[in-house]
Amino acid sequence: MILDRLLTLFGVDPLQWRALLRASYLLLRRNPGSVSVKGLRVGKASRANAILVMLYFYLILGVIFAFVPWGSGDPSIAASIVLIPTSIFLASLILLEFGATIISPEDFAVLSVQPVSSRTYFAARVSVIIILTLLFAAVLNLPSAVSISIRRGPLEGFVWVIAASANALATGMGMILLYAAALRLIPYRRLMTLLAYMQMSLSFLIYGGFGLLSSRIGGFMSGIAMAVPWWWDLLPPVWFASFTALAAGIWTPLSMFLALCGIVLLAVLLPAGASKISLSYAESVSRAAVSESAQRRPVRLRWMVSLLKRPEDRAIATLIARQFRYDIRFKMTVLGIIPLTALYVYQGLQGGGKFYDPFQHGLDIRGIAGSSLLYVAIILFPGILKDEIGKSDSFQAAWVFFTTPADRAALVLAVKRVLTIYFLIPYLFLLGFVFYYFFRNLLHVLMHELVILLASQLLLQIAFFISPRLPFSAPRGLGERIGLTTLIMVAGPLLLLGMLAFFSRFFYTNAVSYLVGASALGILVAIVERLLRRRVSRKVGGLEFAG
Amino acid sequence: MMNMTTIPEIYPTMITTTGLTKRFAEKDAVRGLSFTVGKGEIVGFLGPNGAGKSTTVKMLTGMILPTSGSATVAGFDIIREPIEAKKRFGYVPESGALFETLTGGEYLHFIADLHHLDRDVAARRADEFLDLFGILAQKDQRLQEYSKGMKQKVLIAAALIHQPEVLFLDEPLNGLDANAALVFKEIIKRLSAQGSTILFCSHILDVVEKLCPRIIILNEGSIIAEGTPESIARRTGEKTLEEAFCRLTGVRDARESAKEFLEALGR
Repeated sequence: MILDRLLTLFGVDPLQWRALLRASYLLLRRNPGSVSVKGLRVGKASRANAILVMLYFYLILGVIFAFVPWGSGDPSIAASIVLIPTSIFLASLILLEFGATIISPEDFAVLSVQPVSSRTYFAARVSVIIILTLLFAAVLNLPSAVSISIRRGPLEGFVWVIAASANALATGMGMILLYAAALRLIPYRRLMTLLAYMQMSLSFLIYGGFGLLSSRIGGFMSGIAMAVPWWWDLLPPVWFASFTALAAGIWTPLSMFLALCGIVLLAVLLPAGASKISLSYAESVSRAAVSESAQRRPVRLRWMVSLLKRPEDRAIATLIARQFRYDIRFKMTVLGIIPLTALYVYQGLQGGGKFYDPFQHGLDIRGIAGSSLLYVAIILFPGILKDEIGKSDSFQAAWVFFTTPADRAALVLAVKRVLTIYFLIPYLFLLGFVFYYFFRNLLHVLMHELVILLASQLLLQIAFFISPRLPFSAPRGLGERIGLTTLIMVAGPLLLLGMLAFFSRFFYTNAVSYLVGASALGILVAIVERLLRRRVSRKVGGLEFAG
Repeated sequence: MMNMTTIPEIYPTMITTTGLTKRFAEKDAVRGLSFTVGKGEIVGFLGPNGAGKSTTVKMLTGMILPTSGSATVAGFDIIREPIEAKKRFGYVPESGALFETLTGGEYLHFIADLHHLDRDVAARRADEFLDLFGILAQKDQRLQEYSKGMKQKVLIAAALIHQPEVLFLDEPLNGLDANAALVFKEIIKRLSAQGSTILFCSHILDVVEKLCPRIIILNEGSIIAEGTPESIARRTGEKTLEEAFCRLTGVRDARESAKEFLEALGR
């Protein structure tokens, strides 16, 4: 075969290359969400290929992107608007979901005793990364290529594909270089922590970038020329985007120079990135990961646990705190929610302009809608966390919940209490300062917050009602977060807003109405709590250990 | 093939299974298993890989639900009264899985909390156990940093911390150093003498032979032999438990197998 000859020519063993490629594919495909353990098929068939689920969601994004070149006049700016977020998404994917495909400490442990040459190892790894980046770039960018082919002709569509592929390759190789350079400077475990913060930054970039650009993009798609900031041309995706300007016949010195920059970047990145992947590099990563592990002493949790009286609550609080501190993936998830919440708070404050005291101005749906994002954040954070706490890479350790006499329903409800005490109430406490700044009436702030607390508690109860799960007891699946996050982001906040609007309309009119309304809501929460207890007991009774 | 054991009447029954069955997809992992274990007994639970030992223990400990049949532990039905049963047993799992982000001390407190143990009592016992196994100094280190043997010691301590009446031990000696293994075997003997019931799953036949007066051998989900090591050997016409085990589980003569294997490799 030609491929085999080519690989042999470069000193790569074709058989081993195929075996390594197949193993990488299987490892990605059989993430914990679909692994088969001791004859027990864990996870449902729908989770069998988590990558497909991720591709599906990115395809939806790709279709949304396709509207940009369709409605725009400037092909280069349109391509930039699509390729910049594509790069961020790809970088985020490579670092956070597929980080181990670049290099991981386990590689050396497994492969060092096998007769695999460094060249074969690196060829397999690079192949996997190229395949992954091109695959995800395809779903993100191909709809735009189709859109531009229909609108401007097949040549421009074809060049769009080339620009998108070059952008994807450059992003992939850039990430390899970044990862390798970071590993050289920072020990492996610290790098994992750093990645958690990078996830936060990337989330800020994605959500914040869209937030800031949305108004400009709207005008741009209506044919209005979009003024780009001075640093725009410094972004590599813009260089690749300028290929499309050339295809459209815009041969300005700037577009030619930018296109040339793109070609040079690719020519530099491809060999430089590839050279960083080797078995000897995996060895140093492996050594760093082992030697560093014994150095850190955990912080004591006495103060935190002492707040809780029930033993189940203490056990769950300790577990959640420790998982947050040392389980990098869980930490990433939690930290990843913060920027979104912060942006919602920020945009809520911007959108509402001013928070009017609902007891003085008669808050109605319009009043709430103005600052809706602030309220959205109230349910978003604990809602997503609730789901994340159900899953873990160490789900096999959950056997203790099945073999100890701890009431499993009590454990599930302990998660709700811990979320309320350590996440919801502190958030409401902070929100109280914002309210007080605008209301200047402490009693009104407290009364309003009590209603929000009860309403959000009700929503959290509903979330547990729908899917009661033992903590850290289910295998984590690749990209599972996307679907659920979308649901929580849409349904939860809408319910909360509806509840608050209804409440303020009918019960904020006078003291008696408020007392009646708040009491009714309190009673409702108490009733739902009883129902929830019964439902959780019934549901968890039928659960089986997933390990 | 034997199905129901009779144990001496002086032993009140602590573990009973009646027609216990677990079916995964198309295959019966455990098929109609019935046996009893009396108070203070140490019973060895043997079988080749995939025989159904761990599945049985998982059903007895409430980790998975049986497809049919029933089981009681310390007199409580594991399906109908799981909490009461679980208060009375301890379990050392084969997987050795722990929440490794916790420290050794925190893990024992975590388990003690799940058992509603008094905090002072839990602290005292945790320290005693960790000291006994020589890992008290590492109490505040995360389990991620423990060796396999140290983790196993924590698992054993966690299984014993609430002073259970019944112990399910699935390969409990995995990773233990020689000293710790000796200490643990002595603990098992003393616990048995004090009236604790122990179901001991292992692949190490000599350990089972020395430690367990009674043995149950499982193959393809069913009991194929039961009795003292000597009686099993006698019944199969073999001299040792090891040979009897090979014969019962369908393994051909070990020397013959090794010879064929090497021949297949061209040696």
